[in-house]
Amino acid sequence: MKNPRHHLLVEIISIFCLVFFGMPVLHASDTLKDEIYQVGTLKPIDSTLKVKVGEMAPDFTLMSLSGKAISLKDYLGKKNVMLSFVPAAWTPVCSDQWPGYNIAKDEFDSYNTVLLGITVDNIPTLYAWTKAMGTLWFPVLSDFWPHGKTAQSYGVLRSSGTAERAIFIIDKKGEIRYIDVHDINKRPPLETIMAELEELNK
Amino acid sequence: MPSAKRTAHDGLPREIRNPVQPTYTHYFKTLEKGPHMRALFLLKVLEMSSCIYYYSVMKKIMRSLIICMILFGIIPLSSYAAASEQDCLAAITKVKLKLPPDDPGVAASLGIKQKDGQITLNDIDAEVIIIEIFSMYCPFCQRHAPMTNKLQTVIETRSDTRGKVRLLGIGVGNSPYEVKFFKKKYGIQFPLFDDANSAVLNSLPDIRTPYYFAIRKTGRSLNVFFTQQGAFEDPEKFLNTVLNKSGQLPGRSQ
Repeated sequence: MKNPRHHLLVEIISIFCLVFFGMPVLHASDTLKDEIYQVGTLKPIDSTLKVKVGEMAPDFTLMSLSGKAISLKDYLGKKNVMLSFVPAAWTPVCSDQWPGYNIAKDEFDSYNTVLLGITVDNIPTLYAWTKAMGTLWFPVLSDFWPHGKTAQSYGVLRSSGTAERAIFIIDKKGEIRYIDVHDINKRPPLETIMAELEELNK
Repeated sequence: MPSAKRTAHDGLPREIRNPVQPTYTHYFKTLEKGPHMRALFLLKVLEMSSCIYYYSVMKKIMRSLIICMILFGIIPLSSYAAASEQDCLAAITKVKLKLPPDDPGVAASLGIKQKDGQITLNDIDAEVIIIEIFSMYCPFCQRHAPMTNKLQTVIETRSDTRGKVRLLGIGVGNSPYEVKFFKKKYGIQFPLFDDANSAVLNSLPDIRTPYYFAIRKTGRSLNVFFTQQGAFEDPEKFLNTVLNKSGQLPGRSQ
């Protein structure tokens, strides 16, 4: 049966729905940043390093995004390695760090260095997150289980269970040459990294 | 009969079913009781149909009322939001930029006489300044870099924009090294500035890169007349949109 009163109700409801739920659509043009969880300002460093410059880097074997397990010892005698620990996928600074390294492949290559990106997130999360950045040329490793074991062995696992924003540069002999446990709220500048890589090849 | 009764009730405003008045059920029940009742019933049917007519008119009035309410409710709200956003975005006109000491081409391509040190947008010789807010670390800016280069080519090629419209980029939160890195990687043809101490980044509202500002320069007054969040697809079209909104260049309507 036709019911005009219901029609009016539907009309009112749909107009209000349009107004209230339609508004955010106007702002939906932004892409990756809309997916980012805002963490606010965190304690700059929340862990104690367990390794020092000049020491041998603790070995690890972690699953990479491509499904291949990667060990640090794979590169012994062949390549320098830069480990880039970042706290977590879908967080502000991290999402603005690796895309920068992603356009520096030539530079890493010229310094005969491989870059390994590591977080404590699981593979599916890392897959979705890095896909949003585009295609990354370097392996992304998941230190998810046992949770943060590798981060822990370097002393960069925070009390919250995420990793520090830390950089370790390891030479071909497996010796740690540079450590930067950075303020988690800030991005390490590219020039510092490039200067250290250059130092390695002197 | 019972089904007709239902039809008569459904969809009518509550007032018609006011219990103080004799109910329609009453008329239906008394329908068989004689011709005078039948006439009364016909009268009631007439009254009912006029009610339905009245109701449909009311509906139209209601609808326009609702639309008016919504319009008048939203317009002040959105203009308020736009005003506060405009204030925030006007911060771009006050930025201080550092000329890269090792790249004299930057000053030259903006028509700036001084060779080094800090500049403001007022130092730029232009009628319209287009600013791209980018970051070396932003994947969208990286992907969009060739398109922004094309925009510069279009500006330089067209006689109505050459020397009048200036395009520049600010790498928010980027060090001089990072900006230079980006410039080299993508062969950027227009002047880029760094934001080493994040002063520009912190002065702007929470915008996402790439972000475009177009600023009209009249004498010493700077006025943001156009902003765009995100990349553009066609440099020529983008430039035309900016020019049409600027209403300043020759041959353009006010």
